[in-house]
Amino acid sequence: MKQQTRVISFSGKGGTGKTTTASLFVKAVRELGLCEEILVIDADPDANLATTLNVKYDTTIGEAVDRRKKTLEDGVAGEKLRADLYDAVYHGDFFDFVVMGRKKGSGCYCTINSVLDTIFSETMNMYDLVIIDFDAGLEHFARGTGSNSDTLIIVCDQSKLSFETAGRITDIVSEINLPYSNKYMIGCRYDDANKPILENFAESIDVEVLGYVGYDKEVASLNLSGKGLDGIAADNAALEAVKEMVKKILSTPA
Amino acid sequence: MTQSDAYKTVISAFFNGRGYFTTINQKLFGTEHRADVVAVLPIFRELQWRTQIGYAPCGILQYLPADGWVDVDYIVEKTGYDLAFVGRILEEAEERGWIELDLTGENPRCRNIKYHNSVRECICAFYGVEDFQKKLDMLEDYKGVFTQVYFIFPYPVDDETTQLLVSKGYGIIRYYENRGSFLEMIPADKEDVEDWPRYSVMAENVLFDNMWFRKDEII
Repeated sequence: MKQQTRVISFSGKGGTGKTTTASLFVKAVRELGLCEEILVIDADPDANLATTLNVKYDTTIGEAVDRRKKTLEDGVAGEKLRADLYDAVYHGDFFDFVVMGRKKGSGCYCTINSVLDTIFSETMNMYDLVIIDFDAGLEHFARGTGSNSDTLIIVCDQSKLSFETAGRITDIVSEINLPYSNKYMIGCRYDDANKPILENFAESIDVEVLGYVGYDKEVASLNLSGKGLDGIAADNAALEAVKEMVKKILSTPA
Repeated sequence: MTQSDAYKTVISAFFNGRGYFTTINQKLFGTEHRADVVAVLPIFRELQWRTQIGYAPCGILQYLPADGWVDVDYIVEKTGYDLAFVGRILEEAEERGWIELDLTGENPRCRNIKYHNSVRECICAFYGVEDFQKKLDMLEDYKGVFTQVYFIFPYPVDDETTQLLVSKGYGIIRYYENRGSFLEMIPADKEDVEDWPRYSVMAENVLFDNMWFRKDEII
């Protein structure tokens, strides 16, 4: 029988390297061959995971929801939400990809959002691993989005501000009792001298440091050129570091 | 609803809640038997294709290899259907984008474009209390189709039965009736699919049956 789907969510302050780290995770899972069916969700309204993963997409879940809301309000027959959501999933070489996007309409989305959650939960069951790249904000935690996740990763760079965001994230997660079995922090672009600062902070908020992704020229060049990280060298140091993190997460029970 | 039907329903709900698409009293094609519950785990992209272009006529397409051209005569020979029927199905499959047909040469031929295995697992689950021996015999007649087989019992299973099931690689699930809960006591061995024709037909059948009722959604 299929094992429980593992769901890893990335969060943290904007600009800390969240999306790059999430992309390296996808690449690392592929290279390690640990999961067969993988779904990657870009839940950041400033969606750019598609660029780093080199995936093209035409429509988002937000647009599908808007379309369905309009057809329901207009009382005309329209595509059912499930079919529209299915169409919003794109296929990379070895993973499926979906962009949440933003809903632009006004008024109440409660019913549609409930249906969306149900269909999403069903769909996620078909995968071995779901990787979610969240936005920098905290609103999605308050809404309970991603509450199916078993692992939360908070990405921090060498800034006090990213610590403050991490602190607020852990506060809200425990305040509303989100069921993450495992919570980790990843330090991005850290000098060795500053690593103890992150480790002390992580201990103070009761989160384990999963590891560090150092500044990497190849990653920076690929990001700058917009080429995506799928062409990164197999022995790239940042990728190697992330592979160790993936192994640890996937060997830890959900 | 008989007690047996009620058990099959809860077994089906158990698998359904874990993401499987399920059917109850599923006919085992090519035999007179029926499985209590068949549960398949869809591959999303394959499910997506099928919702976009329609379900695959797998009884015929299963004879196409992943790559390369195959003479239509070969498919006629393998399926045992007449040429006109096979031709109609292939034309329709081409219109939907499953295959490409080439009618330019002396022998019509076709090749696979989008037809792939649609599920990752195909599990057979039996309520173990009734017709136990008959169900074991049934599985002997249907080897190579299911990736795992489970027997579900609403009471602790004796050692002899446990050993028998374990020796065949079948799993045991205990159903706790007064709690509505299941516990996997012994996981089933994972088997490779050997009978691809019957496996494909089974998988497509269960997928189609499950997507059909999901169209009833109001939103």
